[in-house]
Amino acid sequence: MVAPVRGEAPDSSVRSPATPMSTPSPDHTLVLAARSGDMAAFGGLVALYKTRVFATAAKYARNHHELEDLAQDIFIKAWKGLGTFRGEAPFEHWLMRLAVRACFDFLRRNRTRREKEISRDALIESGHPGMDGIGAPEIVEETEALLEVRRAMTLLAPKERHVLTLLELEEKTVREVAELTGWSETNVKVRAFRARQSLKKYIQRLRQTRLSND
Amino acid sequence: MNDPDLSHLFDKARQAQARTDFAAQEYGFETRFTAQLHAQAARGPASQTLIWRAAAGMAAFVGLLAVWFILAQNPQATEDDLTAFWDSGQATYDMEYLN
Repeated sequence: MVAPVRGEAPDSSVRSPATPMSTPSPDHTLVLAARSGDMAAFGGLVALYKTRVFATAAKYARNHHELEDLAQDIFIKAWKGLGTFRGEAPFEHWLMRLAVRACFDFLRRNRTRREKEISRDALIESGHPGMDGIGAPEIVEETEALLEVRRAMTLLAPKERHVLTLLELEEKTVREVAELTGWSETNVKVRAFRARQSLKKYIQRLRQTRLSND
Repeated sequence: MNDPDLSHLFDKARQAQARTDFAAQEYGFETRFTAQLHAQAARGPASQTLIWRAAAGMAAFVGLLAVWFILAQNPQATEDDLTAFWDSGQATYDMEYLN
């Protein structure tokens, strides 16, 4: 159910601290309107941030349906949670933190199913540059590397996959990952270490399987 | 596979990832999404929410009924005790003793 955030007076404290009061961020007006239940204004926010949300969600989804569902889930959570946005950080930061948490929930929900589906990665396999072996050799090689990493990462536990996705694919720092996940920095480092060990093992196993199949 | 190999693999994966384009999927997403929001708002609360609300209401009602029942029983019980005490004749005995 999507409960419109109604009955709340627009909060004048909602502004981006990164920008001075005189020049509010472009989303400032939209956030205020959306907080008072204006769905069209929220649509404007979706239009502004969909590319970032899709890019993050694509690191967790394995086909286009999953990607769209996950993006929708993230924006529905944002709509429902707008009342909790206090404007202490830019809206984008708040939204991306929410997106990362939604992606982690998605990983945990789909863990059992995805362990049986390591051979399919429709999101990358369909129409990604270099996928069909056509193009510059380095592009083909990079696409194959992406597929290999993604396939091996499906075998990791959700927490391990999450930490590696954020550190290695999103290129976040340990501190940023700790803030996004709510884990301590030590915890992030330990999980990342273990995840890398497991990933190396899985990549080798997948390579051996591919060699024996060839 | 050693750590530099894995880091190198991640480097290449990131390069490929940067070329990934979801423009086709993103196209019109906000329109589809807001249409869905409007539809959900028009439908009203989901059945699951209604069930939870009804359950909470029912629990409150049963609680109130229980409180009322207990309160309604106590005065009757007290009255019955007093009647039994009076009928036992002990009150007469006590009055005589006091006098």
